[in-house]
Amino acid sequence: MNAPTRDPLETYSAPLPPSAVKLETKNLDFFYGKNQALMGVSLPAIKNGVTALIGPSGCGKSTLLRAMNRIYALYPGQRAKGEILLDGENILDPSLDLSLLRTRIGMVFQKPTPFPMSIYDNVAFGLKLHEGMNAKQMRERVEESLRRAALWDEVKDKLNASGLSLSGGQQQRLCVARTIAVKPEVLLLDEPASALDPISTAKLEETIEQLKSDYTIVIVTHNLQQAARISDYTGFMYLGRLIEFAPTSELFTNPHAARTQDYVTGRFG
Amino acid sequence: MPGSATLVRNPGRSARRKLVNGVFVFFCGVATLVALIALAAILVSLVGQGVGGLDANIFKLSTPAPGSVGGLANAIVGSIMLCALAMLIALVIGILAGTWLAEYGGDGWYARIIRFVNDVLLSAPSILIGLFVYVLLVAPFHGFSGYAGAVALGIIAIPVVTRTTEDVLKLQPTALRESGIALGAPVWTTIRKILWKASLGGIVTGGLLAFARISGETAPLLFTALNNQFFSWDMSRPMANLPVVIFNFALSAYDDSRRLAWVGAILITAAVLAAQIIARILIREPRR
Amino acid sequence: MTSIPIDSAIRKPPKGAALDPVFRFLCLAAATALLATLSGVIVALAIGGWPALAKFGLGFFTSTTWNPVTDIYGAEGPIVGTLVTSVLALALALPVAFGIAVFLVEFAPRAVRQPVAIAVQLLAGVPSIVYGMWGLFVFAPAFAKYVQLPLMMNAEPGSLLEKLTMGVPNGANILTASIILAIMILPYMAAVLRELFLTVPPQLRESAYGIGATPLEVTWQVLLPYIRRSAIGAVMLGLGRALGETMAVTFIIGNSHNLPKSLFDSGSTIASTIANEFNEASGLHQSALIALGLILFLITFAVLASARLLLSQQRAV
Repeated sequence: MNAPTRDPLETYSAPLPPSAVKLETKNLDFFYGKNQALMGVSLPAIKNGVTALIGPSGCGKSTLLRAMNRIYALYPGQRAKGEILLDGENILDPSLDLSLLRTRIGMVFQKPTPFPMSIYDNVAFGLKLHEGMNAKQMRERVEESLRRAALWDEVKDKLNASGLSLSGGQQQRLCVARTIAVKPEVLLLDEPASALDPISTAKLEETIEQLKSDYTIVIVTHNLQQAARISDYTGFMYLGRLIEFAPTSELFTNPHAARTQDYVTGRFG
Repeated sequence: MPGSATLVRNPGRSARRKLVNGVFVFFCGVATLVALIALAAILVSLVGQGVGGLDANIFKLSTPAPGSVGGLANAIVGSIMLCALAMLIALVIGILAGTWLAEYGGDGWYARIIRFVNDVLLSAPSILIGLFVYVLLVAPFHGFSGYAGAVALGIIAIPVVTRTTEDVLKLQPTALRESGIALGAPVWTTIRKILWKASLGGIVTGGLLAFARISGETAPLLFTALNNQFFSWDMSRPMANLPVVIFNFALSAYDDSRRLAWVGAILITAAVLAAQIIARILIREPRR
Repeated sequence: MTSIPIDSAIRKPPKGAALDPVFRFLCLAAATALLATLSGVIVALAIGGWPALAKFGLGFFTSTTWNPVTDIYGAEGPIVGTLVTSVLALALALPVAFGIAVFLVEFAPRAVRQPVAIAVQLLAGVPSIVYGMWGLFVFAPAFAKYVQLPLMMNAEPGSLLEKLTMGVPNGANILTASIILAIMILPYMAAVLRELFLTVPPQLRESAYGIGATPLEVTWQVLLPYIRRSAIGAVMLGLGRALGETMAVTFIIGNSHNLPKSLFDSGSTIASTIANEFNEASGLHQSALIALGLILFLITFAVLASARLLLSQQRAV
């Protein structure tokens, strides 16, 4: 049963009203030294929604995510060309203050990385850096963040315990709480559940669902079912290019590009 | 055993190999025994010769003139002061240098040079370090001093601290560092509050190992701190210390002085072993 | 769940951001201090030793005359002594260290492994001056009594044995110094060799045993070649330590500037010479001693550099 042959280079990007887009990349190229990892990627991220990035290993989805908060700036030899617009402002502008940028765009990593300090101090870390809060305000913000990360009930009696004493799933939610404590506008999640067991994963996905009404979330995942479960829009990447960007249900059930179809049906990757 | 003749293709050769192997096993066992016997012999001598002299006077009286009774109080205090100052120097410079290698230098050409230099200093003969400090701090100022001794010991300790700091910082996952940066923290705050804290156990271990190394060193003190027969807190003059006292008293004609040398040897060995044991316990304890 | 309004408050740059370059500079300065120190050592030794080297030239290396009274110095004695004791110590320590390492990795029953490994490491922790004292007061007399004297008494006049055992029977000679030195570097080398053996992938060991090789064959024909480069590097590090060792040797080497005529004859090493004479020396004598130091440094440096080259090619250490 052969589907009609389609152009393998075909790409598709669903049109979106500008008001729905919080963050977008425009023709983004990215280089690791001489190797080009991203080619002309133009990806929008939905305001108050979840945008998932999927694709086989090495397609550039993590690279794209890490360009969005310019964490790559730590490593000489990695550079980006093009534009990344946050509410219309280009954040690739070299004069931009990176630490302030990162209060607007937060990131949660693949492996839970609790800081070697108490749970309270973990969440308050970003607050102490940036905002002139008094102790009461800080405490309120910490509690608020832990509640939103669905961790408050489990840790409220042991805020002074070390962050490392929590289970893997709890540690990751601690990292989420820590990230949202500074009230960013965008949350970048780099395969946040890949190191977690299924129950913790489910809890984390629940948390993401609850956060999305207030945050723009971009999540990289290699788990197609996860992308289908929690995201509103999905971008499929392959070999450094954005092949298709469409509402999630559409991308999975009726993709436009042949390659997308091959990937989501398990033909490769 | 039925059928064993067919299992073994060449019984003669197999027997020979087994014999040779047996000799080898025996040799390895003997080698280990040699080491254990040597350790036992040294410890037995140490305790046997020195423990008799361990009494309160050791800590109360200063080193005696030849032939008279005394203790090691000035040498003990002197050694502690020298090691403390040396460790202060070593920790400050060593941790900063190790941090530079792990966090800033990466794999660049300068970092590779520094690592090589560090390795050379790590294994350089300590007596040459003593000579260097003599030329630098003793000859120009016309006097031996505790400061010179501390600097010499510090130079010997720095490479140990640098190495362990770099190693332990490199063990931290990059995601940990990036997590701090991703929250907007300045690089040095990330290093201080997150990376150093996470590596604390390893850094302390490095410090203990460095301390173990320098507390037993004699040669570099011979031309820097020299020795002082009397009790003194003044580090700008020659400073009493256990290793040089041992060196001087070991060859003394008087039993009492020789006994004091053995007591001093026990004290130094105890300090070194204690530091190593604590370091080992720290390595084994799970991270909290 | 109420929706939390997103603050658009203006934030200040984080505290401390301006100090980033300062901290980085401090770290760089500390790292550079290491380089400065090493350079300083070389320069200080070169400058201090120059007068003696300039005066005696190449003769410094070939003459054994060491006379503070007439101010004539030749370093051949200490140089040869240093090389002989170090190489001899290495030759003695290496097989034993190898045996210990293999014992710990292949043969030791589980219960014994940890205590023995700890005991070996404790041996490494004993300060060198304690070795020196033990050597002087315990080992040397025992050696003289049970080895040296009997051998010398039984050597017939004019025989090879007599030639090999010539010397004052007090146990303070090249051989005993080498033995003490060997015991000193033994634990370090055993520990490093053991660690190297542990880096061999388990599959490699298992395949070798799976073919039916005996432990000796596995160790000698499979494990050792695998770690050969690093092992040589480790051996050279041990050599480097032996070369620079002062206190273990000074008490027991006899301190004679002549070339030792036999293993039982006394000699000197560069380190022991410096340790014994420096504080009383001045002028050209002092310069000669510093020149000795420079020579020792160059020898050690060459050994360490080669060791590092070999070690870095196999694993990151």
